[in-house]
Amino acid sequence: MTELFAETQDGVALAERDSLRRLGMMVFLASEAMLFAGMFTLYAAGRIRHPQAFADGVDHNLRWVGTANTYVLLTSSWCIAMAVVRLRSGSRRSALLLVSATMLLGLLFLGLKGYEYQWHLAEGDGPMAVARHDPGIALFMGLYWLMTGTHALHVIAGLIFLGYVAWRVAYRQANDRLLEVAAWYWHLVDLIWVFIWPLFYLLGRVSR
Amino acid sequence: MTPPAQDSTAGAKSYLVAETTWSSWLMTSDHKRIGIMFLAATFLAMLLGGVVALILRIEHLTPHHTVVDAMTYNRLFTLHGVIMVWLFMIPAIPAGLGNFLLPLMLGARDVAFPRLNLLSFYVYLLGAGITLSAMLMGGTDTGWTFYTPYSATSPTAVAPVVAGVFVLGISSIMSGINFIVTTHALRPRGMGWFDMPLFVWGIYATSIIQVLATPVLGLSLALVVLDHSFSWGIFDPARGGDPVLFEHLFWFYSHPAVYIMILPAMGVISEVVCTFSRKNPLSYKAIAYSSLGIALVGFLTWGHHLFVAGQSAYASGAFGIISELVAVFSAIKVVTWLGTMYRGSIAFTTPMAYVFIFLFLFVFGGMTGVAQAAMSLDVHWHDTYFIVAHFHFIMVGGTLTGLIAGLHYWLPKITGRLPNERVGLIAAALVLMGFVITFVPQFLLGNAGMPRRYYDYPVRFQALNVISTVGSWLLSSGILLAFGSLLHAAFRGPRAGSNPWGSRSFEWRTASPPITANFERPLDLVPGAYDYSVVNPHD
Repeated sequence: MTELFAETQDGVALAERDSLRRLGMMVFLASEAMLFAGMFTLYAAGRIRHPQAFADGVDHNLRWVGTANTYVLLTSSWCIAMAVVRLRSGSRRSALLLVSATMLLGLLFLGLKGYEYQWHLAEGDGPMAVARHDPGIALFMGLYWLMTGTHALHVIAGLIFLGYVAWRVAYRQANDRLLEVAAWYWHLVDLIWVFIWPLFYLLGRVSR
Repeated sequence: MTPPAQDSTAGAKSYLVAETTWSSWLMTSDHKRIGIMFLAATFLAMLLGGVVALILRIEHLTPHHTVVDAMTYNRLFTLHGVIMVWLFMIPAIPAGLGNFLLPLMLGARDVAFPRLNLLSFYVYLLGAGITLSAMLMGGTDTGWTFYTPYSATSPTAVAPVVAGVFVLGISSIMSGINFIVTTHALRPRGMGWFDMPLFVWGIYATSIIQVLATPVLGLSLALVVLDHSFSWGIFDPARGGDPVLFEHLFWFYSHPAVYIMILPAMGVISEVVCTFSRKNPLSYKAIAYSSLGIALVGFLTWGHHLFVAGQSAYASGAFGIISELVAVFSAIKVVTWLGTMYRGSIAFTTPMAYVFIFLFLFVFGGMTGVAQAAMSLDVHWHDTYFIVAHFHFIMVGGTLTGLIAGLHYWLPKITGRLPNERVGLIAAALVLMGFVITFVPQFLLGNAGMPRRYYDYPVRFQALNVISTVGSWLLSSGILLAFGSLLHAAFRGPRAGSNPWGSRSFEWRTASPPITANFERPLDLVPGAYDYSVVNPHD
């Protein structure tokens, strides 16, 4: 009994801290999911009201960028999942390599995204210029900047998180549980993109 | 009864005196100190919001201009709502009392993520700072609901207020995550879900709402800023947007938010009723499940705010019926509390007096809610003072009385000192009288057709307005007396001993005030938190 108590008294023993983190991350991801659920609701409402304008808007985006980014993120998700598996089986080095690969792919995603943003800006379509469009298109472009922008911020947050965890794994002997929690976050960010991809790049009027 | 706190804990000092530097408070990760800091901050917010309320009531002493002009009036009622909802009522009980009590009730040393807990306090301060900084920019005149399209075009300082509330939402989510994980993972071995004190159920249900609904509020507020600052037009019909969509998103959070305010207060009432009736609750599970029921059903009732917004009649009908379900769950609670008192050995203390006030105001206000959830009646009352009176009955009559009851009840736990019963009861009487005199006339005014948020009114409404204003003076003097007495007792009150009320609940099974680590020995789960059938070995 005293031992058990020492455990609770010191806040939390190591094993328990892992389970707290896992639960905390799950609850946090539920919260994040609700944030994006609100945005998808806005998109649905807009698309029902302005089907033509939204289809035109999709054709206006760079389909190859959205598609390439989908492959990039899915591959990065595979990398981070494998990193957890490797760390669990004890190969710290290959786990770190896989985390690095994940982060490089995340940076590549941001690079491609930035290229598309740059392309929109060059066309005079920046986030400040949303109001210049016709009504339906303005709504589409507003949602485009809102949803891809919020998603990109989440990718950046995910990269920072992964960088921190990689540092812990490399220099502080952190276990696979911490990496797994970071991986969950990365998977959610990836999963959200899988829904953004068709809504902003595929469901256009022209099939190419 | 045990001797004064410091002696009873065999060496270890209470959390209040263990460290006394400023930084030991400001950089603490102790849930008890963070809870007290939240209580202090929300108390200041309540004072500020209360002063604004008094000015608003004084303005309504006469039909036309009394003390402020019309533009100032609009900004003041917005300020009152924003402060009271987001700076006071949403965080006060969960982040204040909840923070203090949750780990104590679970026999834990702290919450699951102590540093996140401290961060949530500073994020709250940051959000409060941003929100209130708008006062220096002249305030805003949209009302606390920030309805579009007006909020997107108002020339006043919409952006800082809305951005501040956005930041407050982040703090709220942090607390929610912390409390959910604490409840799940930090119960000691042997404590099942149905062994927890009922207050924990209230906080847990609240946290679910905070975590799942607040992001949607954040989204809608962010869009208001984008619409206001960059003319995106997401909610502007001229640009293809839809203003009613804002109402949907806003109320998806803000209706459940009223349950964020009331569920923790209901948790307080459950604890106080059991302790001062010296009985187990009539049905533990009825109270626990109805808390969850209110939290979950609360997610599906937002449409009753849109009865006159052009929503389809079928949707309104469905939302109306689902809204009535909340009344069923609430009634289950009220009946259970009364059944708990029945044949109990009731001690008429100050917390118990507030329980009776709560029951009266909550049932009265709840009945008007039942009536309003019916579409046909709501069309008549929509946007009148009837609504104002209704939600003040529930929120002030519910949350504020619950908070004051809880503060009297747990003052010995927090400070080791007893509140003054005589002053407490006088204050309670003032609060009840003041409250009824302030808000009953507002029901009558609303029913007679006086709209809310109007600067002016016809002379025939003056008598009721004067009565209401006089009531607000009584109410505020009652509240000031209650809090003044509590503050005095916190520093100068008589020593309480570890369990002055003879409660069986778990938080009383350690010293009052507790040591920094909460418990010297593992929490003994026998007898149960409401088992008054046996002699308490901990007394």
